[in-house]
Amino acid sequence: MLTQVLRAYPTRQKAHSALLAGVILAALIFSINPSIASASNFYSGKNLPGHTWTAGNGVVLSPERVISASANTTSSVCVGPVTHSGSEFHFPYGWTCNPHAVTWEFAAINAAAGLDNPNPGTFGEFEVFAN
Amino acid sequence: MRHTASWSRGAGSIAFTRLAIAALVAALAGCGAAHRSQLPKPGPSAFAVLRAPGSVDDAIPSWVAHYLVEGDEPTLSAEDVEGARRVLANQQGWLVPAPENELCLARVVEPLVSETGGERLYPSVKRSCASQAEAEQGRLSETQSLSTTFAKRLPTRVVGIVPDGVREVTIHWAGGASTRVAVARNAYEDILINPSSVSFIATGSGHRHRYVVPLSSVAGARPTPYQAGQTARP
Repeated sequence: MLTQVLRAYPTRQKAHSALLAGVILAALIFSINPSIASASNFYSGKNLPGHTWTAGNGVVLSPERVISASANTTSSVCVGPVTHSGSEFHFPYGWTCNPHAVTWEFAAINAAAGLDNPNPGTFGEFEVFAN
Repeated sequence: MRHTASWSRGAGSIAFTRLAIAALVAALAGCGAAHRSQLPKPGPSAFAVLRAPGSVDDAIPSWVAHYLVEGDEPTLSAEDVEGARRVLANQQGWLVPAPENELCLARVVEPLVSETGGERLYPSVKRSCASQAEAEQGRLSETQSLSTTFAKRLPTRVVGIVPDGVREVTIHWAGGASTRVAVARNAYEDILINPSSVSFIATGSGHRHRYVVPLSSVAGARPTPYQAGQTARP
């Protein structure tokens, strides 16, 4: 069917070329960075009060390998992997806080990406990415 | 004539294909090199540990190097990793030169428990980066809470980088108390309860300047997550 469509297309050679180029592009991208094929999670928000934390949409990645986070703050931002058992949350590596963007990489852990606002004031905006 | 036109279209198509592929390959293969070539040359480092010749003790284990090279921005090269110098004595931690005149503090962070939910936990790699200027002001610092739950009093690991000439830093608590921590290899490290800031005096261009850097931890955070006001994109 696809062949018939291509045959009927006046500039089928160009369509073939575009298709071929697309396949090569995808193959190259995946060979350069295979991790983009794995699951990832992104959440962002506004107005996270001081001394509170969030795991955003609560998505637990299985496995989670990377958390990176940033926030609109002149002080610090904290991140950590969060696991859930019954009604309790656990932080098996603790939290780490840094004045700048934080990147934390793990050997496979089933967790959600947590973000904490350690400041007395509110985070205006924040973004968290996990993969 | 029709034959020629058809051949001409075919030749044009082949040429188009070759051009498209060549452009893609060149763009993808060359983007890293182009990025590198446009980077500013780093100036003389204000961190003696980076100017010192490397030793066996400075070598980053291959599994850590893998994380650093494969990791997110800033993307570190094998050359950057080779230029790293170990700066922490009580744990595995390195100061790593990064592109665009940045510096990264890379650390191996051990899990606080051996397993969770029947799943064995392994050491992780934490990386924080800052510009050289920020690092010279002590802004390449971080804390790690050493508890799997929230509490009002949390043991907190404090690590940071300071420029040449700084022999000790002072770590302060909110109540006004403070303690001094020695600097070795441009770095300091300690474990304290709820520290609030670190200060040090550095000399640059003949002037002494006191820097104060806030230290945050999750001590006193609410035990349950805050849910409102977020947008999610799984």
